[in-house]
Amino acid sequence: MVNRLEEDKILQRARQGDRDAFAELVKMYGDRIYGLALRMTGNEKDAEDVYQDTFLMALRKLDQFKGESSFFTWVYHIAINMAISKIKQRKKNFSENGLEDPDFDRLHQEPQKSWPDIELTQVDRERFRKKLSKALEKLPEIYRTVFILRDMHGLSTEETARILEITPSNTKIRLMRARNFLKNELESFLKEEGILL
Amino acid sequence: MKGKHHSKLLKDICDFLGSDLDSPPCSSIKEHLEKCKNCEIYVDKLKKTVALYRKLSMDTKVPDRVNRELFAKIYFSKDKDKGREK
Repeated sequence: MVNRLEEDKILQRARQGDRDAFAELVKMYGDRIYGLALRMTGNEKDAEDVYQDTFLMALRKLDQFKGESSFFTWVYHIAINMAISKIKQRKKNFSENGLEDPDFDRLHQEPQKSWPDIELTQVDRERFRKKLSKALEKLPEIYRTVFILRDMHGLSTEETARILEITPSNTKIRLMRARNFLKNELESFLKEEGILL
Repeated sequence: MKGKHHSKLLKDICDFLGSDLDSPPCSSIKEHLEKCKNCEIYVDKLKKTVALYRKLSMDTKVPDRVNRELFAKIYFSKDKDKGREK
């Protein structure tokens, strides 16, 4: 991990046309950008396109980057927009497929069983990762994007709302439904694995 | 506690999940969780779900082939720029 000062020096070299310097920036942030692209698009092919197009656009527009945010934040926003365009091109589930609110009344009608601390050693790690990914893919896009930005990448409600062009209260509702859906999916899997009774 | 008030509180809990529960906006939530076992368990499950997904997002690596292609394009665009300058 380099500090901001070192990053500025690398950026300066990249702005002067030093491709090795730009490649260094890709190596520094590539995994995080690819991870975002993969989760948002839900498939490797689209994620590869988004990942490559993001950095190629950043390279082309590098002289427009004024340093008001960190380089990562700037690239991250390019990647989000690219991923959203990709999803809209597919038009798959983008505007429909609603999820219901959690049934809070039922939550209080029967005693809830708590989960143990889930150690990844308890389950086949790779199979567990695939299960988590599959559950995320099952979430309709309008919920998935909110969950990824808010919970997996730590953006604020306001920032998520602005990026997705929805209201903050809509962001909160989608997030709540997404979390509840994923919790239920995970609970089913943990029961299948015999970790929960 | 039942009905709308309860439901609103749980929605607030969802919004503040991951925030510092000792912070002033969360004090009523924290107070409720201390009294309500079912809500406490529900929130704990949501927290564990989110934590597992955060971990998943940190584990992702770019495939080598994808990086090789990207670097080729990055260096190729430099050659193209040079070609235009001539």
